[in-house]
Amino acid sequence: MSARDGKGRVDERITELLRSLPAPARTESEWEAQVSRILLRLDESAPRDADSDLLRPPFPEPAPELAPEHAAHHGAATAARSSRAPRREAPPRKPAFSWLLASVVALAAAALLVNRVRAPESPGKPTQESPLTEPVSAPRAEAQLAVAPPLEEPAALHEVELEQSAPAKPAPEGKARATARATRSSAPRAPAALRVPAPPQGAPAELEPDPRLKPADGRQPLVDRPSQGALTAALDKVLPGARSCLAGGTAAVPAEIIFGSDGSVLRVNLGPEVEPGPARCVRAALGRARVEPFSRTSWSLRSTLRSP
Amino acid sequence: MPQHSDRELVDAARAGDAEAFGTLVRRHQKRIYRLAVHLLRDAAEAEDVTQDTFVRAYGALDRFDGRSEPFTWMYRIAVNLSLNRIRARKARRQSAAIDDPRIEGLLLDAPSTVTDPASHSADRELALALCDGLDGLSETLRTTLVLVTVDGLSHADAAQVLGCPEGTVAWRVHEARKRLRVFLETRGFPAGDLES
Repeated sequence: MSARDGKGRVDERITELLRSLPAPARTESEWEAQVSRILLRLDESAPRDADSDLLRPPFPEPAPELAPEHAAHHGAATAARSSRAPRREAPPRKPAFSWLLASVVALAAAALLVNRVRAPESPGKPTQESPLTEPVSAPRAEAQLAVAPPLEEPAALHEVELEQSAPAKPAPEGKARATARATRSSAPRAPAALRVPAPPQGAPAELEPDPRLKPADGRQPLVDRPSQGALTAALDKVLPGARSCLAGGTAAVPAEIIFGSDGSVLRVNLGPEVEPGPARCVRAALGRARVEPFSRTSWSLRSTLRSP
Repeated sequence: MPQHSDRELVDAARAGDAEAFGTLVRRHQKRIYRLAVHLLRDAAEAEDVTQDTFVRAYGALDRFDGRSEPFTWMYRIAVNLSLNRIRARKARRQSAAIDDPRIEGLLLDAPSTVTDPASHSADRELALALCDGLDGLSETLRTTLVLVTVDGLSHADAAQVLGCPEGTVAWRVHEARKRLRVFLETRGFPAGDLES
């Protein structure tokens, strides 16, 4: 059997699995209710008042996507175009010189980021190298710099601190990710250890980083966030215990589990409808969940607990 | 009542026949909803997008030029609405919902209905990893792969929806599958295991 046949069979298996991925089941009456809602909205809305942007192709570039190595040669201009283009509900397009200006700004930002990476005070944070990761251009990295939302606690939920110390705060997430990505996109591939900038001469000895921020086996870089599979597996293990806490009580309770970067549960927030006794039991059960360490400060997982 | 074609229904709806449009909705809402679920990974948002798709399509009926089939035209609206939502939430999202309808569906698969629990469990692990891989693809690759592989559109229809040549669709599907293959290998699913 040739390698090509093998790949073909793997592709077929992937296709088969993707095709069988489920979507939520709905009854005929639910579908019919949706039709009624849509028809009602037709009456309410002004007819022929459409958004013409929605009728345009979602990805306006007609040429086939370039392989990563080719895309790198195209540089920031292409990326800036592709990152802007999908904003269908944005104002009309600007003239061509705007793209040129955007490209120049993007290149300047990229150069600035690279310089900051080389600076001794901003060591690169290890990130997961994924085969799915595409080269990141400067505008995307720049956009991520602006995106570093703090974790907000829902006001309607009450919370309890689990008995453990909070993990040390890593560098601001957006900045660190953008920096690490900028390094990857601008420099040739090198072992992770070689990509860490060297300290300047005469600099004080490097402090030992928090062990919880280290990769699990000392070789693999940290993943950016826990994978959906890891979260599901972690929840699978603790859900039966948590559900049993609700036996005979509240039927369904919204829950938020907040994982720290070391993979342990920092906090469990529950909806107000659950009694204090069962709430303690649920928190203790969910607090046993563990995922692999990751590089973000925290990651929360929302789910609905149903009594058995 | 005779079965009307999509084009006939569109013509009737243009003339003000809302019931004809209702027939179009009944005919295509399930596929559009499924597409939106897989693009958005959120059942409630997918429902909103499904409704919006038809409402917007109704408002734009005069602009339907007939060069494509009505359902690919509506698919395009659904894809654009889904992508707009994904981009809008990207900036604020800091959490994962285990209420992901795909994951929920996989978890709800009752083990009692399967003959081989070990194989069922392995398939579920693989499907979860595949969802992760799918989510890690670029917007372009993911959308194309969902249209062609998950939804089952032909390359020609997907090209109509995406407004690109069929060759581009074929390349994207090939590239997306290749990346998923590599991704699955890194997640401990070697090609040899997947061939069975």
